[in-house]
Amino acid sequence: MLLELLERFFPRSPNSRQQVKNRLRLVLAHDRTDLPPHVFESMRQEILEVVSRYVDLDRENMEFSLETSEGATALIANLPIRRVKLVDPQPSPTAKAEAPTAPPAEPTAPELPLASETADEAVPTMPDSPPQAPIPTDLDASPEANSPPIEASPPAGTDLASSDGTGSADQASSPAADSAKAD
Amino acid sequence: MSRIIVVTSGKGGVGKTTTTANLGMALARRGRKVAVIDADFGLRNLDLLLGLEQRVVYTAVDVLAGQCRLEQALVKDKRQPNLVLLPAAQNRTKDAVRPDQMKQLINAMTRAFHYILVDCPAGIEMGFQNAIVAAQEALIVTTPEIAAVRDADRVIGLLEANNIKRIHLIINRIRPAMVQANDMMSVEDVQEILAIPLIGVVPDDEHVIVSSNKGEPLVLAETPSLAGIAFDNIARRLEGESVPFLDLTPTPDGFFSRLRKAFTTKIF
Repeated sequence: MLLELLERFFPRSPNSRQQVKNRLRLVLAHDRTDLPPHVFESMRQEILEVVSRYVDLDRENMEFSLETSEGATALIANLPIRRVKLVDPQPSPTAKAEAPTAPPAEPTAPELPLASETADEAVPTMPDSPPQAPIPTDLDASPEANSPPIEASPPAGTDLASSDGTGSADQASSPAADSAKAD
Repeated sequence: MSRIIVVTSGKGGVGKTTTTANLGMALARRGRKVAVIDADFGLRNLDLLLGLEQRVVYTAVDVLAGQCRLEQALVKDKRQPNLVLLPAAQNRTKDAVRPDQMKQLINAMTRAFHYILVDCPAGIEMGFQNAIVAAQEALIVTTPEIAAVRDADRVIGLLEANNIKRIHLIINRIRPAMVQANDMMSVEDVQEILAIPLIGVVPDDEHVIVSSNKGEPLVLAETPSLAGIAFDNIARRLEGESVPFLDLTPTPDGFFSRLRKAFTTKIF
């Protein structure tokens, strides 16, 4: 499969045999995973949102597809990075956007361990000037901080929350913990 | 107990009926008692490819309706007594028969035949369900073209979902010169994509058309054609024999090879 990936970036003279193989791999990957196209599109948007919180992506040159080879299907994403964003887990006084304290409306991507919040508000888009927020640190963080915890704090509805009650229950603002508190 | 094998593809026109007719005849010539069943109700063609269309009196539908005994419907091939054909009805559609009826019919035949080959219609609807209901094995026929391979992949998934695990691949109508020119997928390309074991490769051969014109399966021809040999090899592999695949590399057609041919071909 790596060979095919390399071939995609450094193609030999394009011939129809190579084209048809590539097309088939794509088409069969979609057929086999049986993801309706709009669901695939939502998944793609969400994944890009999450990644965009950490790095700036070059949307023109990115690739994102399902591919199949030798009976195995894989999601392959090639996301060129323009630059890395400074992730600010705590809101700074200068930050315009603040993480919401209210629990999110519904978990949009239940598998993701990070607490969900809309991407637009998560990281303030920094201009090219150096960041003004202080260096993020947990040393003087108070348990009631507004920021969502970095550790896995599963959204409401997953079993993890109930079994992990002790851990996440301490963070009072954690939305999952609120609903996960057994009694 | 017979081996009940369904010959299917998903896509139409890739060579299922040709394969069923030729495989059936090849196996019969090796001394096996073979019954070929046309499951394409409404658009039957197996009788044509075998040249038995004038001898069809009763069809599978008549047997199921109780209008005749099974033996009366089975058409015996005069050229090869080991082979019989159970024709499909031409004036009905694929919904004329239900899967449980097909199963009943085939089960009534298992004691008398070593092989029961079921020629599946194109598609994945009722005709397909009828054809696979009693099958234990499947032969997927595909050509090295994008639409055929895609449909074959879907059918493989459906077969596995229906608990048919012994699935083998036949790649039909391959054109080695085009493969070499990178204008057609190779055998390895298709195998890698579909990921099921290969049992046969049949080259594109004009003799196939001539044989269907005559109603005479390729394997019966006096001078064997490449396609005929390929089908015979598939029959041998079905029987458990280990047969190397035909070397289909095209003869080089460059200037020097033609010059060489000119000097070596006998004129007188």
